[in-house]
Amino acid sequence: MLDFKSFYLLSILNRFHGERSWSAVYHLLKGKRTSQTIQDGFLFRVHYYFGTMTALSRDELLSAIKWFEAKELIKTINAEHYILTPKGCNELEVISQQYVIPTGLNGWFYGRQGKLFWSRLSLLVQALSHLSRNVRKYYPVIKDETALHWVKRFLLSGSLRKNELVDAVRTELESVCQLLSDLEADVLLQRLSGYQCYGLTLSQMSERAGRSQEEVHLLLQSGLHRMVGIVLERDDFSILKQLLEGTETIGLTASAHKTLTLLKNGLSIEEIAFRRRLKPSTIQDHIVEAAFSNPYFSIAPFVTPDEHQAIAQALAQAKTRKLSAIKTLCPDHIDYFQIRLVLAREGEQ
Amino acid sequence: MNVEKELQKRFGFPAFRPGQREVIEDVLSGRDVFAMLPTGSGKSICYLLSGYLLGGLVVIVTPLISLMQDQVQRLRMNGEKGAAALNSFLTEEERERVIRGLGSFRFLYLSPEMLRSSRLQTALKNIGVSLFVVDEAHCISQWGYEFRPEYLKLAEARRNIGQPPCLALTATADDQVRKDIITHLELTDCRLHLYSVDRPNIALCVEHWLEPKEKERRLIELVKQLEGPGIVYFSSRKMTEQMAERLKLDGILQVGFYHGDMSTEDRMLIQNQFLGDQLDVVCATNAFGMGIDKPNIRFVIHYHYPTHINAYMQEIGRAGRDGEPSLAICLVGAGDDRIAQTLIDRELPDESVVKAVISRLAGGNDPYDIQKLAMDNGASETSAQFLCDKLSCVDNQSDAATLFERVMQDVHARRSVKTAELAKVRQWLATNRCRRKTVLQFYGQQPVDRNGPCCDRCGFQLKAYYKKIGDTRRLNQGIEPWQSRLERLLPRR
Repeated sequence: MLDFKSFYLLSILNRFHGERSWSAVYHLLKGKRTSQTIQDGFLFRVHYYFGTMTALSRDELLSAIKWFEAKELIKTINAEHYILTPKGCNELEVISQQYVIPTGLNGWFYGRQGKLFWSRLSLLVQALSHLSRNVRKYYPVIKDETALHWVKRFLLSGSLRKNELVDAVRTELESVCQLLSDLEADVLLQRLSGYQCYGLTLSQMSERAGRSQEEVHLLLQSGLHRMVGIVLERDDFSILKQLLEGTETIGLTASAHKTLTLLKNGLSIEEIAFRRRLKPSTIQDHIVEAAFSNPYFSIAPFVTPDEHQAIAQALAQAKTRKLSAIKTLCPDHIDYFQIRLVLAREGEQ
Repeated sequence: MNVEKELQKRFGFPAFRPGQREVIEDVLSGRDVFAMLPTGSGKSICYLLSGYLLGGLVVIVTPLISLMQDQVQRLRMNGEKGAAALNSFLTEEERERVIRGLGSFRFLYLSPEMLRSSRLQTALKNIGVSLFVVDEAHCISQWGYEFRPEYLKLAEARRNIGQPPCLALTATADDQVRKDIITHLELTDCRLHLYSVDRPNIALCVEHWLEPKEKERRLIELVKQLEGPGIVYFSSRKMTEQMAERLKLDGILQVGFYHGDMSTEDRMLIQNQFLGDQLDVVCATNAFGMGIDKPNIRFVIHYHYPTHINAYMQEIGRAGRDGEPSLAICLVGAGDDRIAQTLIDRELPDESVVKAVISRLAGGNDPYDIQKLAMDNGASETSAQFLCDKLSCVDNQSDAATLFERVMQDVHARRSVKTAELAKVRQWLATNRCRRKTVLQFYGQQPVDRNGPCCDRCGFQLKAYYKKIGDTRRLNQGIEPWQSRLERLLPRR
């Protein structure tokens, strides 16, 4: 019987259909912010899981893969590329009756933001919990100095009085938790600390919930990402929204961000490459990355409508995400850069 | 000036613990002071209260970054806003913020590396430092078990910031180490305060168990019987988890584990649960306990003995800070000697790491890079620190081979010092004589007056430390529904 972690790893490995090596899974789960990882993330619709297992080590993943192989759940199609065997597919289906990948995960967009949000929320709730009992001495659960500073400033600068703030935070948390799954809300709240009320560690929660640590960890993140998404989209969470102050949702790598700024200023790919002392292909990577992470980003400057159509046809024919296979089905003048851009658009369907 | 009143006002303590007042008075008179005060005797009160009375900025040099952050947090918890820490783990921006705000601080904790920065030195000189505190001063001595070469540069740094009076503090230093501290810190006309490392309310006990199964069984028995809260120390991270699990199986439910592989958040949660008496027992590595001040710890059990007698004294010193009878038990098993030797080896870089780091040093020798490089090559934090101390101050002229030779020589020298120290621990574990007298002899001291039990050699009743009231086990509930949890965290008025 597979445990949750194996289920999660196997599900994600399966999403790549053997078109990427296992290290794509590794970089995805570790949250490596590179153009390659983000492109793969969107291509294979796994960007939700970006950075959701930062503690995973290479050895751990490798030994899981060896184990899957030994159990004949996966097989290699060429060096380090794996697909599920019929037995593996069957197993995955059976196990899906028992486990579900939490549906709130949105690692690429909310991973970093969620982390910061969590630090601030934990400190705020802990502070208010103590303040509401007029207790001033306690050990902050989060050690991050920047978050501590932020919460301190927030508490000093607010217009609400102490008790009003406590009520407001409780009300907002209550409403936002109603929009999460009960399980997500349970684990999130169980991890918060307050006056004579101590958050539980992952291992303690895992024991009490009768779920593995990995599952609890993913539930926590799922709840957190969902919460951040809700708070961002709606207008009725004024305090929780403030906790996101100074954080950005952009799913772009810092370098891609710079490239885009220059692009907006009207520079060509070659000019940007020259200016930034990068290879033109790297600049192309950045543009593809932008196309994937922002559905409104226009690819028209790089692909004519005719080219777009030709590539789309090739895509439909190929039924694979392998670029080389797609390329052979396209007219010769079309290059990989263009194919990737169209993939970013058509891949959605 | 009434120092007692200040103590009451600032910290809410009605009276000084032995030694504190004497040290503070000498510091206030503007002289250099060397004080050896046992763990748990409130060393920090000495410089904190002095700082309040002297005014101005107090600089505290301390070797462990985690320790300095805990200190700052504790001060803030105590309502002191003018406390800050400067160390290499801060971001550039955070460091800048501290340096720019120097004038507004009362207590500044520093790692010795930070103090090398001439920019910081100038800033400190301009502001004027009222007291220069060197915590864990034994780190300056080659003979100390925690020798840190960076400490040797402290005297120079002190001169550069205007030679403020110095207070050197340590919990444990024998004669040789004391001499080193005074010489290397260039303490002049120095007042010495040497208090006994003896903690009379802690009874000492060693038990030998040949069979590993027997030792494990005995631990479970002890944890069940003894009045908590307590800490059980292990040398391996994995074992803290396994044994916590094992104890739970035996019905000891309020048990947690703590080690360096856990996330900072999880570690803080365990620490807070323990402080809040939600956990009776924590199975931990020696990373646990530093910088937390829990007065009512009733027992400290060592499942693996430490490699240095100072470390042992520090760890058992976490028990009984409230002065109530407490217990230190060391369980010794057949394989433990080998484990201790492995620990020593892990504290020093091995040949392959030294080679790898030197070859990739490539001219730059930023301390942070060296440490990271060493750790990337599989070195432990302590051994990386060691290598970093050795390499960060070498000139770039020497070639790799010479450098390698020199570092390996140092490694061997350190290993023999450590092995000699380990021998002392083993000697103590094996002694037929009074444990207290034997351990104090290492420090050239005698036991202080006592009226409680002494040790297993002098005879004492383990029963006296058993749980007074019946088993108060709390049932382990499942996950609390979020609605009621929210109500507990932020109750309605």
